[in-house]
Amino acid sequence: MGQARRLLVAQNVLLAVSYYLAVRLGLGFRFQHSQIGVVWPANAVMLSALLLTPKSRWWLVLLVTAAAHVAAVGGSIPAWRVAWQIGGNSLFTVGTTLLLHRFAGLPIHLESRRQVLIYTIAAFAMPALFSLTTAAFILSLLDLEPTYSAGDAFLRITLTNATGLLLVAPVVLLWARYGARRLTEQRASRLWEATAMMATLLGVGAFVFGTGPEIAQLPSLLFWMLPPLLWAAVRFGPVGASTALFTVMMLSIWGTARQMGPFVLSTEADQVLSLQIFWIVLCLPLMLLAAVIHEREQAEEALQEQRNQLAHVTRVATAGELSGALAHELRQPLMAILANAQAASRLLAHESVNIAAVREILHDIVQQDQQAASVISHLQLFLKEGEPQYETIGVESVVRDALALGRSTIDIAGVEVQPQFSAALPRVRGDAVQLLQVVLNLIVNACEAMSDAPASDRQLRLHVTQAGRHNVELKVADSGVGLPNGKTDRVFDPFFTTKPDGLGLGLAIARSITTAHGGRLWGENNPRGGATFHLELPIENNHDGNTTAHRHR
Amino acid sequence: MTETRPLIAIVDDEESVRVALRRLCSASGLEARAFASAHQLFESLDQARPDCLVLDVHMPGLNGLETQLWLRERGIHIPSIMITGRHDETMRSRSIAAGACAYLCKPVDANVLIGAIDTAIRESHANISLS
Repeated sequence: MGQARRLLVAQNVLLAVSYYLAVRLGLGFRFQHSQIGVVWPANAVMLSALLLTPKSRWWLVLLVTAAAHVAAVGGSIPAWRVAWQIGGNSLFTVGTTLLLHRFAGLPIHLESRRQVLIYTIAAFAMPALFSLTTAAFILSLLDLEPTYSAGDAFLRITLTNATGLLLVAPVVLLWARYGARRLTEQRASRLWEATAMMATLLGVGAFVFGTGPEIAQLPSLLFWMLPPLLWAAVRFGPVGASTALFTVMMLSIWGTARQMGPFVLSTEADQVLSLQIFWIVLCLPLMLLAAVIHEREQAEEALQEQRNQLAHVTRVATAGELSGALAHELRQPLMAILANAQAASRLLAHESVNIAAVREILHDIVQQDQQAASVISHLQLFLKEGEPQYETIGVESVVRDALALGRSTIDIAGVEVQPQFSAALPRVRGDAVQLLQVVLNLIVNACEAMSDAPASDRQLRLHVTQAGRHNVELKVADSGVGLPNGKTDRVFDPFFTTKPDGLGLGLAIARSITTAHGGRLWGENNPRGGATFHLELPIENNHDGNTTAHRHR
Repeated sequence: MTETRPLIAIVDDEESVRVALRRLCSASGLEARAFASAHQLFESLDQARPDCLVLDVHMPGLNGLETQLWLRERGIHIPSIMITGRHDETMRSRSIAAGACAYLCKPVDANVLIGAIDTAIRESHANISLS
C-alpha cells in the first residue's frame, strides 16, 4: 500500500511539473506581438493525464493541474481570468476525454485507422466548442478585445488547441504508456536505427528551419522533411510518427520565432497560422500511415502465430501416429535396464560375487538409461510449443535428430536407411524444431510409401549437399509408390492425402515452414520408381534480408 | 545333483536387450546363448538343441512368430516364450495358437520371465514323458 501511495505522489508531482512547463512553453510559443500561441501544450498534458487515470481519480488530476496553472500564470493576469482559464481548460479536456472514452475506445494507442480518424475529429470538434467559451473570443465578441475580431479569435484558439491535441498529446500519451518500456524491449539494431532516424530528422530539421532568408526561399525546402518523417512512420509506428512530428514542429517554431526558415512571413499572425496548418495537415496522413502499417504488421503476426500453432498441432498429430513406435523404442532400453539390474542383484546374492561382471552391468545400465532419456528429449523437443527460435544449425544434425525420432518407425517398416552427408557443409539459419518436423515428415512419408514394396527393396536415401553457392539441399529418395503422375505438386495441397487415416496437412505445413525459412520444398518421381523430395535452405549470412525468417521477433 | 543346466536361446535384434537377457538367465542358473537373428539361431541348432527359446516378436527378417512356425514345419519342437515391445493382441493370439508358452511385454520382470521359462521347460518334459 505504501508503495502504491508513493507511486501516486510521484505521478502527480510529475504531472504538476509537466503541466507547469507546458504552460510556460505555451506562453513562450506566442510570438512577440501575438496573444495566442502556435500551440497550447498544457491541455495536451492534462488530456493525457486524464486518459491514463481512472475516472475516480480525475478530481486529483484537475486539482494538480489547476494548482500548476496558478503557479505558472498567477500574478501576470487578473484572478478572474486565471479562474476562467482553469475552468474552461478543465471542462474542455474532461469533455474531450469523455468523447474519446465513448467513441475511440481505451486505451488510446493510435494503432488503428479508426482510432486515428476519431481522435482527429475530436481534436477539431472539441477545441472549436471550447473556443466559443474562452475569454479571448467573448471579449472580442463584446468588442472589448482590440487585437482580434471574434472570428479570428475563434479560428486561432481552435487551431492552437487542435495543434496541441494532434501533435503534443499523442507523444505524451504514447510515451507515458509504452515508450520507455518498449525501448528496453527493442533489439540493439532497432535502437541504432531509431537513433539514426532521429539524427537525420534533427539534422534535416535544423537545416530547413534554421536557414537564413536566401535558402529559406527554396520552394522545395519543406519537402525535405518528408523522408525522415516517413521513415519514422513506416518503421516506428504511431510512437515514432508522433515523436518525429512533435520534434520537427518544435524545431519549426523555434526557427520561425528567430526569423529563420521557410515560415518567416510578413506578419507574425500569418506565421502562426501557416505553422499550425502545415503541421495539422501533415499529421493526419502520417499518423494514418503509421496505423495502417501497424495493422498490417499485426495481421501478419497473427497469421504467423496461427501457422506456428498449426505446425504444433500437426507435430502433436505426428507424435500420436508415432506413439506406438516410440513406446517400442522406450521399452527396449527399459527392458535392458531391468534385466541388467535384476541380473546384477542375482549375481550379488551368490557367495562369490563377480565384481567385474557387476561393474560391466552397471556401465551398460548407465548407457541404456541415457538412450531412454534421449528418446524422451527428442520427443520433448519435437512437441515444443511456442515462437520459432531462429538459430544457426546444420542440416545434417536436423537429419540425425529426425532419424533418431523416426528410428522405430523405420525399423518396424523394415526400411534400410542410407544417410550421406557431404563434408564441411555450410550451416543454415532456422528453427530446429520446425525443420525437424519437415524432415521427419519426409522420412515417415517415405516409409509409408514403401510399405507395399518387397522387403529387400525398401531403401531410403538421405543426401545432404551444398546446392550452388547459396543453398544447402537435402534429398529424401524412396523406392515406394511415387507421386501421382503429372500432379506431383498436388501432394503439397492442404487436405490432399493418400493415406486412409491421414489429415493431408503434413506436406502443406512442411512447405509453409520451408517458405518461412526462405527455402523451397518440392517433390518429383524417380526414373526407376519411387519419389525424391528436395528441401533447399539458404546458407546463413547469405540472405538478402527479405526472408521472413529474419522478420520474426 | 550333477544335473546339467537347461540351455536357453535368446533371439533379439537389439543388442542391449539380448546381452541383458543372457546375463539374467546366467545369473538365474540357466545356460544361455544369444542370437541377433533367427538365421543365426537356425545355424546353431546342429551343435546344440536349446531347451527353451526366448524370441523377440518384432525383428527384421523372420520375426518371432515366423521363427516359431519355421521350426514347427521342420518338426523341431522347442518351447518358446515371446517378448515384445509393442502390445498387439492379434500377434499375441497368433503366437499362442502357434504354440508359444507365454507372450510377455517388455520390460519383463525377471521372476516372470524365469518363471515362464521354468514352466515351459517343465511342461515340455512332462509332454515328452507322456508321449
